Amino acid sequence: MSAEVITFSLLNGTLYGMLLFLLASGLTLIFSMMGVLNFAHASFFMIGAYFGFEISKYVGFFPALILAPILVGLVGALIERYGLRRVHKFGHLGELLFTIGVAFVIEEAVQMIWGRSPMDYQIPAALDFTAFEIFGTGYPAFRLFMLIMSVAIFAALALLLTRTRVGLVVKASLTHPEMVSMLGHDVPLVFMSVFGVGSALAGIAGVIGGPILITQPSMAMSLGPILFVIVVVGGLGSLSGAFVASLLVGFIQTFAVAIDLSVADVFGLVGVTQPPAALGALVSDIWNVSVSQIGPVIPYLLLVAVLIFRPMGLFGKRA
Amino acid sequence: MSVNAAETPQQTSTPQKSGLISGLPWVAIAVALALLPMIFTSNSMISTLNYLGTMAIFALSYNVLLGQTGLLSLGHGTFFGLGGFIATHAVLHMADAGWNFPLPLVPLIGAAGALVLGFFGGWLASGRGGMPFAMITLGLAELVYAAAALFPSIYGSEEGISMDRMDLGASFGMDYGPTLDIYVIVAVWFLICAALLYFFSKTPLGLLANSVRDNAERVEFIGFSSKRVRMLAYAIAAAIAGVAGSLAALNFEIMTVNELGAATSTLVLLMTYIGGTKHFFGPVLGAIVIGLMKIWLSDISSAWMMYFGLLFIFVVMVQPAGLAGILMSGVTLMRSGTFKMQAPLLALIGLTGLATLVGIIVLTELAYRAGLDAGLGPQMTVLWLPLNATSVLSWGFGFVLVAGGVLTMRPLLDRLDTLRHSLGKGEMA
Repeated sequence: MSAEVITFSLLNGTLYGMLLFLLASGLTLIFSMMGVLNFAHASFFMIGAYFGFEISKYVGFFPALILAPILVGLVGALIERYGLRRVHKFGHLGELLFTIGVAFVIEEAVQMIWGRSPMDYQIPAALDFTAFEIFGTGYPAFRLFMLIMSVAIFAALALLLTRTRVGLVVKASLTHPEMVSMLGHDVPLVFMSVFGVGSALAGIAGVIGGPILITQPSMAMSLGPILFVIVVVGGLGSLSGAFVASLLVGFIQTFAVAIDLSVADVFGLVGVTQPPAALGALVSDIWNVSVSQIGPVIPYLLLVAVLIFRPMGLFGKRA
Repeated sequence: MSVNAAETPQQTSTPQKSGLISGLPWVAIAVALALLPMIFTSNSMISTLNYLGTMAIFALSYNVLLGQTGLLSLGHGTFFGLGGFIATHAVLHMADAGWNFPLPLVPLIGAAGALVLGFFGGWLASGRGGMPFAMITLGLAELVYAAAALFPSIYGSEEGISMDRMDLGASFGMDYGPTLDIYVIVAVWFLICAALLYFFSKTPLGLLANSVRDNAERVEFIGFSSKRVRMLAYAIAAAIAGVAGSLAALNFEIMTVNELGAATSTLVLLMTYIGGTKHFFGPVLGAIVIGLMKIWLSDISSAWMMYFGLLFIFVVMVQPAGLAGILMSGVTLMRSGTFKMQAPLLALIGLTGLATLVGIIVLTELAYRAGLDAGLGPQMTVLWLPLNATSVLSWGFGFVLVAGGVLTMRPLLDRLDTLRHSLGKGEMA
């Protein structure tokens, strides 16, 4: 690999990782709160992208960047208030199944409203230029903007949770809901707000991720499992774990695409250019597998390995 | 089938008699299975029956995990798909080798393969129940699905792997060309699998599985390994799912990678839960209802997936015992002898529910016509009602039905509660 490829992969990996963290942070907060993984989280990301696309058609990208996440957050808060809170009495299984149902219905609703084909969600003209050049190749300003946005939100969230009174109440509500309630705080309201804010974070990721990843009805289904890999690998409920795991998965996926190497190339180094025909079709399948093809498999291998050898995740405190 | 706790003490009949009585439903099912193809004679109908039977077996296998062991697997489709691929490759290879292996026994091969894989998956997944179990099964399923793309010679590429079920030659007096021959295979396998799983639920292992569902910690204290119980349940469920996958392969003569993807896993979860996990026959009911929705409703309405999702959310929120639970509570009501007193109120509730349902259907159809199907023009007929996707009147009609239904339902249900409460008191006194 050349230095050029490494630099760009590092940049793109960080970018993708931070985008994933925008989603994973909300998911982790919601998990700490309800003890249940929210299967609809990637769906909020998707409606964020669609809302961003639709709103920016009328008022431009930057107002959409604010309006769309607010709308997504409202949708999330309503779903918590009138859906999740009611199934809470059926236990974690009921809550989990409810979020699966919500994810299913949201995907259908998106197809119902916007159709099945991808949207023409373009990078806004104001950010459609080259930010800087390294190795003679330009790096798009929009990607830089995404990176700055993600880091800024990460910083804001960290400050909010660790340095403010609101953060204190939220953290206390997660661990000691009865006591916080005794002290006169409206814990159900806190939960609804956390759910809403978590959904809004996913919405922001959707608005800024929509133009780069394709805005289409399958985007939730394709991103959802990766998110679960991240929160489980990082350790359920651990924000710092989610951060590390997001970057890890981001790097794995971008570097795997960048590495142009297959099993055949490896054998080519030692002079074997053809698979031994006697070993059959299966070996010739493996023979042609390249690293970029293995890329999508690695996160799941990582997940299974972590679950077997370190069930609490990399940074988790409890199993 | 769940045993009604109130009835248990009254069961004083001899074991022989109760054995005879418990055998009756099975005879009835066998007779019904034999009669079905005489009622529905057309080829497409029988093909539908084949599909429903396959899905019913699949859902029953899933309920070993969800209902009996309390394990939420998010990757059960993997074993359906792998079973199907194993069966397909078995048929292809045995036909190549010129073996005359009877086709009806091919699902055994799929089941055996899925059983072995199920043991391996169960060994990885069953350390703990609950959320970790769900996550590991999801991870394993995604792993298998993602890895399948690397092996085109096993899983085929886009077009999948196809085979000809007649290649193995005739056996048992059938040549397996007609769909009816496959129906015979599916029906027999359905009976075998249902009986096996029912028997399993009564074995010590089945009862242990229930205990693991209810309180895994106490099971450990008694001296059993919850992990091993989960693993065995997982492997058994996988084997039966392998039978279902093999039958699907024989029915459609093609397997694609999608069969082992997340869509299949979600479908079986939704089918089983909607049908009801607390009763043995619930999953069968769910498979039939959802299967028919998939086949018939998808012809009538492009919104069928939406109805499917809404039905699932309804069951999760309102009726966790599923359709089977609704059915059984109806049976209990009939037996209670207070049906006449409750009938007027129940009829009102039924009417209100019907109005709400019509409202939801009207709104959904209007929304689809306004969005996805806008090309078909705004005029449409839903449930014999002339509607227009651009008219305020149509939309208002739907909203009024839904809002009115929801608003009247609450006080009606409260009154039913009060009535049942007073009836219960009357019985006590």
